[in-house]
Amino acid sequence: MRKAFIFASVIALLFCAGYVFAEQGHESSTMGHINEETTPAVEVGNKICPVSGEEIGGAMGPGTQYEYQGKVYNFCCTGCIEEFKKDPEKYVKIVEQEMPQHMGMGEEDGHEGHHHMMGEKDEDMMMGMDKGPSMMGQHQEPMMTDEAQVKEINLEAYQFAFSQDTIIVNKGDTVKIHATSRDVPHGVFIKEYGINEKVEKGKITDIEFVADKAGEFDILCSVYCGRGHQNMKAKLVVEE
Amino acid sequence: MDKWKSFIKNKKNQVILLLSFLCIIKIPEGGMRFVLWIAGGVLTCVLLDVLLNKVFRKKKITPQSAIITGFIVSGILDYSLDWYLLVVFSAVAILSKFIIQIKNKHVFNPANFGLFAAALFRQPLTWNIESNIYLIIAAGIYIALSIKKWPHVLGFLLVFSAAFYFSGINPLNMISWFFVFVMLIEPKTSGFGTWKGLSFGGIAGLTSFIMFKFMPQIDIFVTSLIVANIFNAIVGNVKFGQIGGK
Repeated sequence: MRKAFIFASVIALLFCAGYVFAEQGHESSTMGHINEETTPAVEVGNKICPVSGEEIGGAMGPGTQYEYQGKVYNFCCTGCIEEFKKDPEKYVKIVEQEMPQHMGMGEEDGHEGHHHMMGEKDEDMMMGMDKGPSMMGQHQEPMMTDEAQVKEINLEAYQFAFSQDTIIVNKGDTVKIHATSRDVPHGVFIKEYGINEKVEKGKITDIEFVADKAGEFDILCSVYCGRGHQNMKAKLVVEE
Repeated sequence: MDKWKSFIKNKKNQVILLLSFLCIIKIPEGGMRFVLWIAGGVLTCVLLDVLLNKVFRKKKITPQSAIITGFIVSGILDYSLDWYLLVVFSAVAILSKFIIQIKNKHVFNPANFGLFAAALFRQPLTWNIESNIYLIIAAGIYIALSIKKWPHVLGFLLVFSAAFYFSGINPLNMISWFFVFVMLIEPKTSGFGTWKGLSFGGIAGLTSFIMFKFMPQIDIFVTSLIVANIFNAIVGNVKFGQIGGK
């Protein structure tokens, strides 16, 4: 009886301690905060200040940096950072437009190419990756590259969902998924296309396949990622 | 009434009831495919266990263990996979009981062995049977205490929680209560005694963490139980090499 009491007490204590911890963790993950200590920011590497249009490192000096939604942007001066803060999305778009000429966020050490190596053009597409909460539960229309029928998709996995619940492509498209994790290791499993890749925090795993089968296919997490692992699903829709 | 009482007092029947409830809870989401998947796993395990016992051991059995094995294999292996995979890994689970033995006792938790084989072949283990953790914890505490397996649970929880906590990951977000209260404490392959139980659980907890750090794509819990089962076999101080049943 005594053992039973101690046993039940220890379990209860662990549960209470963990609950508090879980609540804190849940808050930060669902709010989409990216903790600097746990998620390394990605250098965007823009060479032109999105606010002033000046070349960084030119007449304005060496420039300065500011982190927004897990990405580090370059600016010519602190005044431009203040301007950026007023309407970040506007300036992020400007940086995205600049990137075809001055893309610099492809950090080789954090880049895992399982099916192909990403080229400069592929890296451009990563600019569309949104690590914040805005993409949660949304559909993403894949971005088209210059070549028709090549679709680039950015997919972030986190406890316990994918950043997009549905990915829609056309039959015959070459699909390139650039997958990463926000927290613990996850997996991207699509049975019908024979895909099963591990994705980790701080690394981008490239998954490429030709969508030659029409239909709706489950995207599952194939790496145990915690108590909600069983519900971590998304859908790939291949339209005729 | 007495029959019902003796039925409900049986620990294996209690586990079967728990597994049935967990599957029923999952049905609204899993649908008919999930029901058939579970039934297929249970049926495969039961048929094979009955057949192998009849042919090789010349005895009739009540296949409660096989029912539990079937529930676990089919409940953890993703139900969208091809049917033949369910049959193969369920069969591997039951066969392991007959083939990998020491002194006529199986070394590995059969269901876990089948799932380990599936994990090695990169099949997704989605743990769908873990449909209600509160039910698992409540029933699990009762079962662990009644079969004197609380040291195993404690050993696992302490090491697992400490390792994840100190690496900055919430252990409660990562833990599988189904694994702790259903798979880890399987009586025949986990040994008895306070210190042995604590060590068994501790080794499983530590292995889970090491797997999480270095090889998470091979299921961390399933692998940790394989390692703990081997530890139990070694500590049992028996010679390896005796293959096959009586």
